[in-house]
Amino acid sequence: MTSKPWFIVAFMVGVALVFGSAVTGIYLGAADLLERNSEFLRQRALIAVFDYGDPERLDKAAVAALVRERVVAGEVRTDPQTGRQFSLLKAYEDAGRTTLRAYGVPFRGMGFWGPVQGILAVSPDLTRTLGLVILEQAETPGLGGRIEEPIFTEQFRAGIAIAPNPSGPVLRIAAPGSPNADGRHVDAISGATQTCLAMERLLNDHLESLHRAMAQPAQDPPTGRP
Amino acid sequence: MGFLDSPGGKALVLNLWRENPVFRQVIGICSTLAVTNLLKNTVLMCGALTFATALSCATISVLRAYTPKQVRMMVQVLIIAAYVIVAGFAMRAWFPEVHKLIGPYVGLIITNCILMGRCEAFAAKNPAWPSFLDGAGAGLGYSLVLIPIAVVREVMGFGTLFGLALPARELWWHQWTIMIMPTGAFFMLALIVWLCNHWVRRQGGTPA
Repeated sequence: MTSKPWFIVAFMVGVALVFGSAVTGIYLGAADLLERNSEFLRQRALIAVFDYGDPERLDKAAVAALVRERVVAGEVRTDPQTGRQFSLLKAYEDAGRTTLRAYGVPFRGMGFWGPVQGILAVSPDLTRTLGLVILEQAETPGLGGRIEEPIFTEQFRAGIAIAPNPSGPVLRIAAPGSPNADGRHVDAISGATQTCLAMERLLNDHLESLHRAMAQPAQDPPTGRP
Repeated sequence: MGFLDSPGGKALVLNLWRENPVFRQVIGICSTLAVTNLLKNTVLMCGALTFATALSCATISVLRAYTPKQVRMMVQVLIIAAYVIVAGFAMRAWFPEVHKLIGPYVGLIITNCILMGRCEAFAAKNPAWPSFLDGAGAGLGYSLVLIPIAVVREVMGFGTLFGLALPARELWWHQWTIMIMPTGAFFMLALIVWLCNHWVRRQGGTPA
């Protein structure tokens, strides 16, 4: 019987239905947990990039409350030259949202091995960086992958000058000890030259675009989560 | 008859050493290169592969009498895929940060030769419990090779073990960058295969 065509088709359909339904059921059962995990990781990234505290020491409720109180999805700006849209985040000093602490600039582009996605925090006057968090990257672990580690990201918290620069790139990622009279230098990671070059290209591209976009009027802010 | 004399017990032990999938059969080694630079990632990958192999083998064994031979490999892939997806969900739920790093490789367990190999070679011809043990043995045999590779690579490449810094490492440890790269896994895998074959030859066996 097992070699009859109708049985073969019926068997395949049956197996596909049973296992497909089981996987779908498990996914639906776990969907809330997966979504909560994903949201928590994103909120922790916002806490880190806007320097609201050490996300490792805050519990889930505190992280969620801080983000809900102080971070809002700000305006949308469009670069007239490239058409790139920025959905900027606005991070405030206080729960009353009276003083703007930083803009969060989401960026995404190619690293050396794959896409790199993150958020760059910049001062409200767009003259210096205040933080950097990498949300997604596929660089070599231990080498290029260190772009998400403090050895690289803390330099952006210390403040890299990012005002428009008519005579060169907005910022430079180069060997430690390179000249830094203009405050635009970021120490590269040893052994990760190609990733650092890709990051330099990616950040400069977004920052130049951001400066052009911020010279344009704001569009309606998006609704939804920050 | 003791456990080790039962068909399942024999299959489990065979997969751990004499027919170890990595250093004897040299199959399923793609992920060896990708996931062994951190021990935590390796242990989770091994857990996912063992889970998927054991349960896929048991399920395929249960269905073997009804599975038409013309579509048996399609059925096997479908069943393997279901268990691998479930393992991926579990990792996303409980270890989201590790999943971010090795998620693509967990998905690729579906195409790992160890699973198809055990399903075809053993589960398609044997009862469920021995097949479960055979699959579990293949997963544990894979872990037996990957975990020592990961220990060496993490210690030499990062100066940590399970993410914890080695004691006083600033005094004695020097980074071996090559151990972080896939090249380091090639060297370590070759070294382990050579050591195991050397041991087998000394015992009077035939090397892989």
